[in-house]
Amino acid sequence: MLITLIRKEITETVLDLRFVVASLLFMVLIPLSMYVSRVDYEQRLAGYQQESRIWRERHGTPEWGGKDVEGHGFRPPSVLSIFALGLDPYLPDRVVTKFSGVFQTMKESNTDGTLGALLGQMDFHFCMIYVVSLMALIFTFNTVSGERERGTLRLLIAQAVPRGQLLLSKWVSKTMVLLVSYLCAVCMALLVLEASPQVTLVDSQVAASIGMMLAISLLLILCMTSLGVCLSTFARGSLQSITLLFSAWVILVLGIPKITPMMAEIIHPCETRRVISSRKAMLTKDLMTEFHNRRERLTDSLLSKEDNEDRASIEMVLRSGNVPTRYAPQVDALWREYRNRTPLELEKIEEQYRNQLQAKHTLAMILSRMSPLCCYSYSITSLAGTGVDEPKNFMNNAKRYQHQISQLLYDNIIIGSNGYGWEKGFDARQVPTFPDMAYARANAQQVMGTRVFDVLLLVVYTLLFYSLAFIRFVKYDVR
Amino acid sequence: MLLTLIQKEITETVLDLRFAVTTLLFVVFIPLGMAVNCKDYERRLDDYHKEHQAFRDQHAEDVDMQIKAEGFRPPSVLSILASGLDPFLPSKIITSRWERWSTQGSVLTSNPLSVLLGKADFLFNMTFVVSLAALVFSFNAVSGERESGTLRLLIAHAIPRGQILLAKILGRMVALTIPWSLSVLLALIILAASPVVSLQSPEVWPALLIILGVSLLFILGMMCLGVCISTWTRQAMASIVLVFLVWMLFTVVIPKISPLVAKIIDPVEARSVVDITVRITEDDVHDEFMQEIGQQHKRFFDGCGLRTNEVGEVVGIETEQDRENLKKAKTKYREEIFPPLERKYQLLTQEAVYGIEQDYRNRKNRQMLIAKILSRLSPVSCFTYVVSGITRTGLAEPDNFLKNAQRYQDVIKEAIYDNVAITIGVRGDGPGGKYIAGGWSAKYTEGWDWKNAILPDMQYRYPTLTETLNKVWPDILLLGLFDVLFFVLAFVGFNRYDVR
Repeated sequence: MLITLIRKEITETVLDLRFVVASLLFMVLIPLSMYVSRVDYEQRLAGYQQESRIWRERHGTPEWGGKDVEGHGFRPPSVLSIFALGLDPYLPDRVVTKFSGVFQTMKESNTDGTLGALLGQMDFHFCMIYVVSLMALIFTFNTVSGERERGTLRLLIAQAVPRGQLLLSKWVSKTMVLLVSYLCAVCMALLVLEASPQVTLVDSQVAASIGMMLAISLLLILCMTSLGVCLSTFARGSLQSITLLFSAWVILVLGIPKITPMMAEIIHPCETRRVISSRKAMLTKDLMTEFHNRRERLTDSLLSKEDNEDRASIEMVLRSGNVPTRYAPQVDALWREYRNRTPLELEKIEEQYRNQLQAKHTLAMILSRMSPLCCYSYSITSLAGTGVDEPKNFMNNAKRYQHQISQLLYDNIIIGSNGYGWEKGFDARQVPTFPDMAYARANAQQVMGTRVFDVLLLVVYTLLFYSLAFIRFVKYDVR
Repeated sequence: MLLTLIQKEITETVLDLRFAVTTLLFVVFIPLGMAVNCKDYERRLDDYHKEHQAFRDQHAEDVDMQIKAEGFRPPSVLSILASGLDPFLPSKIITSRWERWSTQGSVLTSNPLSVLLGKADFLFNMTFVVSLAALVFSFNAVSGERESGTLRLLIAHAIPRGQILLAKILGRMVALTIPWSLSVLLALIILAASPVVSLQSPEVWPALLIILGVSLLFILGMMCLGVCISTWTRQAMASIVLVFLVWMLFTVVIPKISPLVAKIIDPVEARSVVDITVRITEDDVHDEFMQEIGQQHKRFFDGCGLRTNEVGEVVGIETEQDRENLKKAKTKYREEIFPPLERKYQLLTQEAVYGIEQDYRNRKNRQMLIAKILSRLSPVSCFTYVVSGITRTGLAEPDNFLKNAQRYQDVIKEAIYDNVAITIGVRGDGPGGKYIAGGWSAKYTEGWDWKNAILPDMQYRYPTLTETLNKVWPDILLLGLFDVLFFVLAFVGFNRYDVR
């Protein structure tokens, strides 16, 4: 019986105008957005490759002499950012290591992609959130209420079929029809992606991530169709359903995701990154001043112990701003102390700031999870390597790179008799080139480890909406 | 008669569930969005002041001849209404004595979540929530009435169809304007309560009035579109599907796809590639400069009867006479040989860089123009251009920023850099016997003391309202044309409508 019902529903849905519209939209938007995101990715990748190559050609070998040797590490764009651009345009694109131990992150300020920025980017993630979710609701919003209006529900109920089966057949068939046109569009999009010379889908990591993204997307569609069915059981007519659909969609897609971060901001205000950066800069300056003062005191105290004969010549060296050879070990020890201290102190500020931010984020994320669309966004962007965890990951990578360059070069810098210099026996020219920054991203398994909660929540929402629909439908007045 | 009809439509719409839901949504979304963006603006302003102050404190006395002065961009008050390109614009410019000025954007926003999920400012609320509400209000104006059978009776009266249609549009428009005005009023009260925004300021209220006027024009357009769709369909169900399709086309598809289509039609390389080309050109010109100055330096001192070694240093100074000669030669070199060469190469760099930049900007502008024209197929894009233009966060702002940056660089050049003539020393012991920079000497303009020098602040100038209106009037006109077009289509559709 269930199968007959499902077959009937499928035929009805396929013959509906909505099916044509949805298929058309999916077939156009999803492959097109994939194509455009792919082109965009290829451009970003070419930019990254060109930039790192040119930097390597011009500055790749550490120059002899100065302490101002900087290593530049570039962040490669993530392949999966084709699916969800997420935070990618806001992340810094390079790390500049410094001998002080405090690396700098840099971002070319880009004032050229203006129109895209003003009108918004369209990628797979955007299509899912705005187009597919709305289509899923439109497919199902009058499942029950529409049939009541036409009067066919009464006849249907009169048959010896449990109401649960009726509801299930309606939900399953509408979802199936929607999935067919959606999957066709996704297949086309994947073909578009496969055609790119820069992207290989056979790579096990990429394939696993894409597979998971698609699975989560299917879950979202299930969730939205069950919501649509649920809404239809709350309304008596199509018009009422439409109003409910409109408000539910606005609240879930536009309201909760956009308003909760702002609410978290009001509840838990934080200083901005700019203020923290200037505080860090000030601290670095203060520490350097302190170091110079202490160095002066140290040399003074050492000088007072000198014989009169040596004093004159040493004073002359000091006055010219250099360190006398015999004081070099003490000054160097002091220098090393500050070199180790500066990053630690800065890390403290950063840590404090991070904690503040973390508290705000946690609040915003908890609040925003009231909408299944947010759970979806978090998991998809994390899988794409452009999610909320990416700024932290970037910082970790930057720290690792700084450490690597420190071991290679900066740890060999000492304060010699005339300013900064390389340690004895160390030849910077023997370091052939700077290493590339090995940018590590979490793999699909690790991401799923952190995002399993969001996926579970999506399942819970689906079940919740469906059970609500079931309860309402069992009590539904079919007259 | 028209009035009676309008009254009837208003009563009907107000008593509908849609009215209650829309009112609730508007009253929550619009004021809340305003409150949050107002807070955000206060914080951005505070940041701007703090950063500016920090830089000024640091450099109040500490001006040196190579100083990299920093000019900060104050946030625009009106960006509360539409943040537009604001988060993408650089926050400061750094002038430089030797190179071109550079800009710095704010990296890693402190609130990635709101970036990831988007901001709900007034512009967003208008384009997504209000436009959809206007369509939901009007999608079944004709088809729904046909379905319920009342349209037949209405047409039987001696009223021209045009009047009925007008009454439907105006009635629903008035009904939608009630919750909209209420929420805008609440939002304005919130705005007025902010300590940093004054609504009476001549910078704010005319712009606000224009934005609200254009918003009404936009809502009217959406209303006409809804009614138009309902006159071309037979059932409410078909209307709703069509309405959602058209809405998606106008708010999502056309605005987002047109930049991409333009990119495909007229591809331009990425900004980073241009930056690299500029950097390479600068380095090349600098290198050429070093070689020429090295050779000139050697030739000049050799010509003065002084001996130079292979790296270009003057050697063999033994007698008092030699010293005197060297001093004279150095002064002559500093005053007569070095400055014209320096100017020549400065001009060369500027020309080369300007050429590359200009070429890139031209191609980029052409691409943007294509995208802009394509996107104007949708009234939503026109509306976005108008509002973001008036709030000074629109497409013209990046260019305006660059102009301000150039002006500040000129100001600093005049105030500081031009008062110190720097002569670079050269040594011929670079790799492959090339000349490289080796030390420098400075000479101040007479009567100018850099210890008393004051670093001028950047006077950031936003375009005035008149200037903006001069740029956005085609979009306002287009919005009006869309209204007329949708109305005419609705009129044609309704006159031919089969009311059975």
